[in-house]
Amino acid sequence: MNTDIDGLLRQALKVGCEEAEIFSSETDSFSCAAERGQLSDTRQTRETDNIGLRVIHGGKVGFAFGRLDKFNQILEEAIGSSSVGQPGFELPTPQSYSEPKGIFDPALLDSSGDFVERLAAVLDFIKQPDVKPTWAGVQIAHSKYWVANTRGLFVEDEGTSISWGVYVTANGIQGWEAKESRKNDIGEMEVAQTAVEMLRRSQQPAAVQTKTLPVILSPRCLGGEDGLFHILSEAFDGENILRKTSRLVGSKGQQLFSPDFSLIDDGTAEGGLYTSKADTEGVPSQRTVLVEKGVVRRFLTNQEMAVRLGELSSGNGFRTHRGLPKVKPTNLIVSPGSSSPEELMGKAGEGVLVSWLSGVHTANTFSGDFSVEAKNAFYFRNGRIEHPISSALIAGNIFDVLKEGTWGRDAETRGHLVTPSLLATLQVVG
Amino acid sequence: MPVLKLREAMEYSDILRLSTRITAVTVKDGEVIEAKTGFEENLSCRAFVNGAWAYKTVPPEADERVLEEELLEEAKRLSVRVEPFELAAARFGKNFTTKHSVLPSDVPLEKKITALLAIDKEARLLPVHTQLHYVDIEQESRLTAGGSEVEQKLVKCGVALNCVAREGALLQHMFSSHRQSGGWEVMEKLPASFASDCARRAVGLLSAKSPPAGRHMVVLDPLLVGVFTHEAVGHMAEGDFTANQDTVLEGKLGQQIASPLVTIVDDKTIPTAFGSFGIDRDGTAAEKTVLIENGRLVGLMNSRTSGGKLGQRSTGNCRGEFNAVRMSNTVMEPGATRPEELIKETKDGIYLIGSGGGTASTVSGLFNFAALEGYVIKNGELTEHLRDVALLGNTLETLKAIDSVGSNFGLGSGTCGKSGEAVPVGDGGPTIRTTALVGGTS
Repeated sequence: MNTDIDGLLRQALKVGCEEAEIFSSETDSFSCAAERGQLSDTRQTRETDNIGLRVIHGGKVGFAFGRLDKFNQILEEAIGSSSVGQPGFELPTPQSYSEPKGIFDPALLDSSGDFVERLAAVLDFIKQPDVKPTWAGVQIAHSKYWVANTRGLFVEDEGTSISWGVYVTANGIQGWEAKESRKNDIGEMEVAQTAVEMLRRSQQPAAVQTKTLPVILSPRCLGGEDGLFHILSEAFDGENILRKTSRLVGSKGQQLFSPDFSLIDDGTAEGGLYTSKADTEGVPSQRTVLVEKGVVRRFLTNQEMAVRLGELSSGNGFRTHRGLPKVKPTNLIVSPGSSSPEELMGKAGEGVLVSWLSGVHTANTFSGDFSVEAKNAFYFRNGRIEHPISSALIAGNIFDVLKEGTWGRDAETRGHLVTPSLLATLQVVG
Repeated sequence: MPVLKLREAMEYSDILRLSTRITAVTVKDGEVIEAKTGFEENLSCRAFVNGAWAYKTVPPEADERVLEEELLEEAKRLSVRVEPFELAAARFGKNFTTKHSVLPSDVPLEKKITALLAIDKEARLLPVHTQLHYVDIEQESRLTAGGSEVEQKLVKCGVALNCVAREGALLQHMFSSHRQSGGWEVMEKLPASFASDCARRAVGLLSAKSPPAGRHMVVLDPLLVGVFTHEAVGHMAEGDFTANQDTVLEGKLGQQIASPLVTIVDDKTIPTAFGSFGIDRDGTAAEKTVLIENGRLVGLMNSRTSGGKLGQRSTGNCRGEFNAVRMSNTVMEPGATRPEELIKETKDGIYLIGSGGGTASTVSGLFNFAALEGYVIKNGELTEHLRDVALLGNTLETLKAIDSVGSNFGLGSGTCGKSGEAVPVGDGGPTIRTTALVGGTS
């Protein structure tokens, strides 16, 4: 670190700021992609020296961002925006930090040639007569950040990540798999095999009748970009609590969910995709129990929401250099139940097994109501899969689902969520 | 006018210097939550050799020539493993600046805030929670390729408003946006009822009912038609999807795929539309591209790369940092029926209004959208008010089932994400009638 960070912070104080904070992130990424079974491109991105500057000036918060070499201009704009900013905010103070485990793998720092070869091997593997490859790719990234403020706080951290994805089709039906890790430990052939198996199992689908049925939601239906837990993490967001736009307002200590449901936000989990030393405001990462045996315990906060709610920050302030920290979950971990997915099917008798969902972002995050498309879904009876389903909507309410649902004992990481499968009763529209 | 002589279609490289100035303000329930300005600058280089692309984005200080050589080497290394193809012919555009009266960066932040607080206050005359997002963007780019260069300055501005109405445990929300290409004058032309309409509709949803699930005749308003046109039809007609995977449009060029009442275009040249621009990432001049003409599929959207793979010309749809084919303003053109007549002629059906987002699969041809609200149509009259309405269908079947197209036209704005990048887009059309599966959520 060559930048005189203290000098910049002092400069902010000299021009009249009461407090100041600089956040800076740096990314190096490499990716290689293949289209229609052919390698198509490599992509490298290097981002450095971008900063976000938060100041408190005249008792109010101001913010601006830009290139580090234009610090004076950024400072002037941040002070300018403070005239309309929020009063009553204070920056976090320094605390003690533990080193996060399993989030940095030196093997991912420079071996781009090797990854091109490994992707080529994946392409050879999926060259099968009943499979049309559409897209496959690998991305590796090395990210660093630092945050410093005039209360003497300075935190820096770095981590690596890798993701592999394989998408295949046949007869208008898709199969895919994508896995992400902090370490170079993903078996890309397994990823390809899972995509191909999903594709084969989904061939020759038939319709399903509209009715209320037991539905098994695989981990992919719950976590990831199109996962139903997106609705739930909005409900636990301290900002939605503060603004009373969450259904969970006033529910602390109440038994809102099934005693089988426990949910923890753990920013310290070893090897977690969202594990770090601290959040991007410098508040140490922690383990926050959100739901304990169905009882609502805590909500997630960043520094601003914590100050306004009169609590301590839960270490969930995350941002890029382009904006103020927002409340975001780290690793959300659902406690597993006791049944395997097969046993869940046996328990349900007749129902639908869904591999993933499409359209979750259309769900009502306030009410928890959703009506989404069930993808690569299967109809089962007497505990056995009978046939794949051509197209269906499933509809319900996430809060109701978590009142009655039965959890499996499998566990997968999908985006922010580490979760087993979930058996619940939903409306299936065929 | 810059004239670009490209050496070749088999080896090519370019440099894009991009700088962006942004002001963004978020107001919630009368409080300014975030007011910020920012500036970004980077250098993006692309190199193409015999069918292989190499891309690199770096901080602006980097040496352009060194970067270009490094990437040509990288592309050459990869090219020995790929099936070669030629890029579609270059059709370089002219320097372009978005027409604007008042540059947003010339308007003091305080003036912007005053205007936004007034909008927020107007909405909160009714008992709703508000979230108002304002953004203005001034983006300058300089593209250098084969010794020539072309410059572009895009100016965009506008607001999006979310109103949440609450009654006990019941929360309902309504969304409205007004974002265009242009300067601060976009805000000065904000319709007077923008905020009050949004709030009134949010409150109205508290007493609305869930829709009757099943297959129905549906009448879609212009904004929902816009989302259908963009998500369901537009993405299928993106040349890179067509070149790289199965889409349901494969092999259908020249065929009748929709009702003869349907004409759909991707028009980069609508002056005030949010998705407009002058040149794309390849430097290709903006144009109005006809995709479906009187029901017949007549064209796809292409970059020089996807056009090269498909043996088609570039339509100037290469947007974003790298190479993805992206839409601009994708609209269905108006027909002959007055929208009031269209509803009056409907005996049994559901009228669906506004878009709560949605997705569509280019592989299966299925789509799933949420409408913001709806009404049951009985004997040509709007009756029961509906909320939480989801719409599911097969795009080609829905296009064929369109039996009436309104003479009205409405244009919406949004951002479209693909390959990890978001670009501003416009979408819209007239009121239409078709058949689809409607889902409820309770």
